[in-house]
Amino acid sequence: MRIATVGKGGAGKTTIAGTLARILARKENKILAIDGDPNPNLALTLGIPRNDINNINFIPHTVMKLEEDDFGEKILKMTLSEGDLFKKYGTKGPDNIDLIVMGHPADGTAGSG
Amino acid sequence: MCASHRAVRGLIVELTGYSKHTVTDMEAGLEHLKRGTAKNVDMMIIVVEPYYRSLEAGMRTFKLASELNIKHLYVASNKISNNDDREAIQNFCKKYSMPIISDIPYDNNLIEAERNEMAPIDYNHEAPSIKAIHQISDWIVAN
Repeated sequence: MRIATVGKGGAGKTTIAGTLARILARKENKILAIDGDPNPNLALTLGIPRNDINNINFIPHTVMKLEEDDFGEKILKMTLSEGDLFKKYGTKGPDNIDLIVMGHPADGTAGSG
Repeated sequence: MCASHRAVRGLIVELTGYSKHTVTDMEAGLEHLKRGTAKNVDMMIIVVEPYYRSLEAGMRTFKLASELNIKHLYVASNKISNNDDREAIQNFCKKYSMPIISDIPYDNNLIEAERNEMAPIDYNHEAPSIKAIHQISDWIVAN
């Protein structure tokens, strides 16, 4: 299931997202956590050590490209393979969680990964 | 749609098959809903606190998310200190037909976990707030 947490800043959505991911990972094995917030706090609530957090490469928005399919419909395509995506931008967390963090244009580091 | 919102939305779709579940922590605010970033999720958990402005924001989020036809739309009420808090949220959510998936108590364990730079679940897996989040995972596993 594709789950998203939303809310005002400070409401606790990141704590809930991170903890929920950890509980699900213990029950159901493979979980992917996506930090769509420019604030990389999800890594902390997942329990990823500070050193690993400092080494996270943010995903640049250019990872998705808008293309037209054979019928002229606009579709979003990934510009690199799934394997390369995780190799370059993925971080392993406790309970075998995979984390990816989206970069945002406002971040100095966005797009530098 | 701005490229970074588009990228989040695209990745959620492209990586659907990678794992049994994906948990995406969305950007704060309503921008991602207005831009349709979140329209490809199956379940949205709207986190609210027991004060009026938070509930109002939760209600606006709920309305926007309903228009995106998200299948499972739930409120998680957070930082509940007492019965008055619980009732205030329950009454508000009832008025707008917003289902509550879990009441998460105000919990000092979360503050202590952050102070110690630990995941809340590693700091104290039996903390009341963690137990309440278990209710959400139980629902997900059952559905």
